[in-house]
Amino acid sequence: MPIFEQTYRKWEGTLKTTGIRWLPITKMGIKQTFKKKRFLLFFIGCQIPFLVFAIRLIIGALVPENIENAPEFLKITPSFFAHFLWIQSSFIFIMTIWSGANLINGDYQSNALQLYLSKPLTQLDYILGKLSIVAFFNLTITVVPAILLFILRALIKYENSWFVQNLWVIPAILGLSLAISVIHSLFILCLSAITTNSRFSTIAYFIILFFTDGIADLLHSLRRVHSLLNISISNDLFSLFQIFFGKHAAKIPGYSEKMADPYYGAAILIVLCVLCYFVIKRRVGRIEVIQ
Amino acid sequence: MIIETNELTVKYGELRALDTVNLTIGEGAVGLLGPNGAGKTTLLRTLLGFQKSNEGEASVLGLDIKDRQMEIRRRVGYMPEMDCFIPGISGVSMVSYMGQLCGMHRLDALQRAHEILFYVGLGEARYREVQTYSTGMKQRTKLAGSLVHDPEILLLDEPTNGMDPEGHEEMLALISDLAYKRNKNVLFCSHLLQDVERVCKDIRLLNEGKLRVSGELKTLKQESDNVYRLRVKGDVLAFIEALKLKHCRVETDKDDLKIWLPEKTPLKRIFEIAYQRKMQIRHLSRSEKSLEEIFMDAVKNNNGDLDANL
Repeated sequence: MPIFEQTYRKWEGTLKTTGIRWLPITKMGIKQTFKKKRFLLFFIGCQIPFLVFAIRLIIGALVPENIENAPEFLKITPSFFAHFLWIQSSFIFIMTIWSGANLINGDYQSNALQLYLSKPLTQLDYILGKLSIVAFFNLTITVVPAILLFILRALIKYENSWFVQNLWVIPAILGLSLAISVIHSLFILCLSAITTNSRFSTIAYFIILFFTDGIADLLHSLRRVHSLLNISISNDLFSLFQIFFGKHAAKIPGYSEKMADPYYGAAILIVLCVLCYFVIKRRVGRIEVIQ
Repeated sequence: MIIETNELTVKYGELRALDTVNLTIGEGAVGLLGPNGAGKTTLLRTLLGFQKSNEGEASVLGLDIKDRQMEIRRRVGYMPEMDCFIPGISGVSMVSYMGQLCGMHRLDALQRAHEILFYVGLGEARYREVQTYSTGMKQRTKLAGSLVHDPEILLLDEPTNGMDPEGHEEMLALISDLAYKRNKNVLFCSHLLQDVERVCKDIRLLNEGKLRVSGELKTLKQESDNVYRLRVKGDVLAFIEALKLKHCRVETDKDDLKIWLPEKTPLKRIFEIAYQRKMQIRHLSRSEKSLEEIFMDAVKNNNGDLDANL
């Protein structure tokens, strides 16, 4: 093995000019987040519903179909997967805060933005890199276990008719998980970009979600106008279940209470996402230029 | 040319941070001088594409800053002025991360990060978290981060800021080593004249967004042929009077006399006067301007034209 002098040596390699430029940001963010022990415990805790649903699925698959009076919860229908995602979506709130609250304001505090943007990265690369960190964690507790449950069901009791009939569930799981994950990620990044520390972004995130929820409930109880429920961002998020799972979403326990208009909800969320993106871009751009 | 600007203008609202700057920077170490707010950092940021120019053009390594930003950033190493770091990671991770962001393979970047941290003198501290580093160590980490991908040009913005005397010396030694032994092109931006003088042979001086002085330091320091510095022994006051009678301008500077001989007056005249006044001449040399004088002249002479453009 050659012994090199500890001095400056010319680097003979070549720099990648193709590929995903923001991937190192995501990898570093994931690595950093997993370093937090409490987060790791929480992350493991988030997989508990998966174990419960897996057991439910195994029992449900083993119960003969012709048995009379079999409990409803043992039937593996698309609403089973929607219900799983419904439960996981409450973990997403905490996961989003934990993994995303200090992603941009942490960089403000340490002036790291200049370091990022003096490298061959655009503002969009930076935003995508950070967004993917939160989205990654959200997807690991939604899409990954949900797809595993589907595969498990198919493996335990393979029925061609069930498989063909329910194949649409896979894109529904993917679409719903991706939509919820990206929306939460954009919200927290936007709050992280406009606040000076993670505590403020966490508080702002809670306030926005629960304050709009309270306002929507109050106005709905006063006016009895259904579309007022769409004021609540969490109602809008829950209404996405209806778009992806259709009538099966109605079978989720407690879902009817949150039944806001799904298309209004989706439109509101799209507008909010676009707004969040522009706020993040503007804030990153401002920090980049004027220190 | 490594860097070239043509009528480059950058405005912050009404303020012209860079005002029709025409400059060319060749290979080697070049100092970018100027008082605070002169437009040095704005120039660096504009060259890197952080700041959009309002008018004019600029190129780095022949690449237009308007549409080849990514390639420029790939070939340039930038060390920002401010204290900046990636929180929660060790020095080696940070430098390696910087390499990966430039497009280096993960293992290459890691190997190179170790090498560079040894080079900048942080070999022993490379596994410590960057936020626990002292200011000087953070400066070195920033330098390492800008060097990791082996750039063709280094843009160093106040690299000795906040460093103790020893660290300061070491940083200057590192920059000199990079410029003269490793053949890196360095644009050294500072308001510390001594630092620039120690490292650079060429300077560009900005003030209020305009380029005031540009050229080789050695040439800029030269005064006209008829200015001399003398150290004499004897009746100095009488000697000065005698010189003034012969239409010479004389200034005293500590123990030295600075003498401006009238046009076409030979040097011999000084010796003649000294002989007449029984003075001993202990030292005589052609006078050179100090960098401070060049700087002060340029700063005072705001409305003047470019002093030199070589």
